[in-house]
Amino acid sequence: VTDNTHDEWRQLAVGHALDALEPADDAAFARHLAGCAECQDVVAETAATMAELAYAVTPAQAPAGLRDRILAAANADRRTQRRAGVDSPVRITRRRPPPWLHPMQLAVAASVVLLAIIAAGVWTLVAQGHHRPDVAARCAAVSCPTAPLTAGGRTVADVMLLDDHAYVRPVALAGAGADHTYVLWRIGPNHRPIAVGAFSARGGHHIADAGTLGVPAGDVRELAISLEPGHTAPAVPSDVVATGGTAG
Amino acid sequence: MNDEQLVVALAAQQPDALGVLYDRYGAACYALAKRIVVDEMLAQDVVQEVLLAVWGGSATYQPDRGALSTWLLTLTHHKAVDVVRREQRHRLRRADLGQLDTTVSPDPPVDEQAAIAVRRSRVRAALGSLPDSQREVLLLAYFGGYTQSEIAQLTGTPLGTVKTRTSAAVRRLRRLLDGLAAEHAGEEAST
Repeated sequence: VTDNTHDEWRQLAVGHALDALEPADDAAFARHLAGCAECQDVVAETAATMAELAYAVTPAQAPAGLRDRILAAANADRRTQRRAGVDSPVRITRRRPPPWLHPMQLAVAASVVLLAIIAAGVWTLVAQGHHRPDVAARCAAVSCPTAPLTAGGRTVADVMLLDDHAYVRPVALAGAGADHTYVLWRIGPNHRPIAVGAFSARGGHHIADAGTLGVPAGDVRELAISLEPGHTAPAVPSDVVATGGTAG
Repeated sequence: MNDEQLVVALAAQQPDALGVLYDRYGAACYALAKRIVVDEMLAQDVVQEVLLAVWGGSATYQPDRGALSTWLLTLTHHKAVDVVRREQRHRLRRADLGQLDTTVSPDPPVDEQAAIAVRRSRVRAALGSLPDSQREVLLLAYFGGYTQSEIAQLTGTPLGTVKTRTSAAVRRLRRLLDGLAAEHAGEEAST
C-alpha cells in the first residue's frame, strides 16, 4: 500500500471490517488504524452494519448439545486456572447465621471467620507463589511451546503456551505504570494480530496469565507484546515492544 | 440481566453468565458461522471458540465501540472466515451465490422471536434494494469469506472497482437500514 489518500484508507477500513483485505493491505491498514479516529469510526460503523446483515441469515437451529458442551468447556477451563494458581475472580458468599447461634457465639464465630479469611488470603498468596512456578515446571515436563519475545536482539519476556493459556514470564519488562497495561497478541491468519489478553508485569520474574489462546497451542507461531493505554486490549496493537516465534 | 450487566457478569466469570450469553446470542452466532463455514461441526467450533474467548477474557469488549451483539457477531465472523480460509473445501463457491438469497423468507418458524423476524425481513429488504453488482461483492466478502482480490478474480472485475463497490454497498446498506428502521418506528407510533 503506497501513497494512500484518505478515501483509499476508508475503503481499506471497510475491507478490514469485512475481513476481506489481503495480508499486506491489512497489516498496513492496522498500522494506520491505530492513529486514525476517522477510520476507527468507519470500522465500527461497518461492523455494526455487517452485524445487521448477519440477521439476514436463515435461522439455524444450534445442536442441542452445543450449549452444554460450551458450559462444560468453561468449567474445565476454570478448573485448569485454579490448578495453575491463576488469579480468579473473588466470590463472596453470604450466608445467614444459624438462628440458634447466641450473640456471643456470633462474635466468636466472626473472629474465627476473620481469622479464616486472613489465613485464606495468606494461603492464596503462598499458593500463587508456589503454583506460578509450577507453570514453568509443567511446561518443561510436557515440552509445551515456548516463545522468547525480543526487542533489539534482547529477550524481553518468555511466553509459555500451556493448557490453552499463554503465560508470560518477564525477563526485562519494566512495569507498565498505573495508566497502561501490557497486552499479549498472537498473530493469526493473514498476519492479523489477535489479542490473547492484558497482563501486568509486577517486577521480578512473576509469571502472569495473559489469557486463553482460543486455538491449539501448536497452531500459534508468532506472538507480540504491546504497551497500551488503559487496562484492556484494543482492537489492534498500538506500541509493540517485543515480538517472537514459538519453538518446541 | 441486560447486556451491560451481562458484560460485568462475564468479566467476573459468574457461573450463570455464559449460559445467559449463549441463550441470548448463541443462535445468531451459530447461524452466521454456519452460513460462512457451511459445515455444522466447524460452525459449532466457531461458536464455542468465540464464547469461550469472551468468557475467558481474552476477547475484550469495548462498549464505546458498539453493541454487545455487534461485537459478538464480528468476532464470530472473524473466526468463521479464519476457518473457511483454512478449510478451503468448505468455502462457498461462486455458483452458490444464489444460496445467499435476499428474498423475504416465508412465515418464520413459530418459535422464532417476532422481533428477530422483523429485523430479518428489514435487512433482506435492504439487501434486495442494493444494485446487483454491489450486493454481489458484499455477499461474497461477508458470507463467502473471500478477499477483495479473490472477488476481483471471481467476478472479472478490477480490484479498484471491487473496493469502490464494497464501500458503496456498505454505505448504502447503512442508509437503507436506517431508513427502514425510522419507517418502522413511524408505523409503530401511528398504530
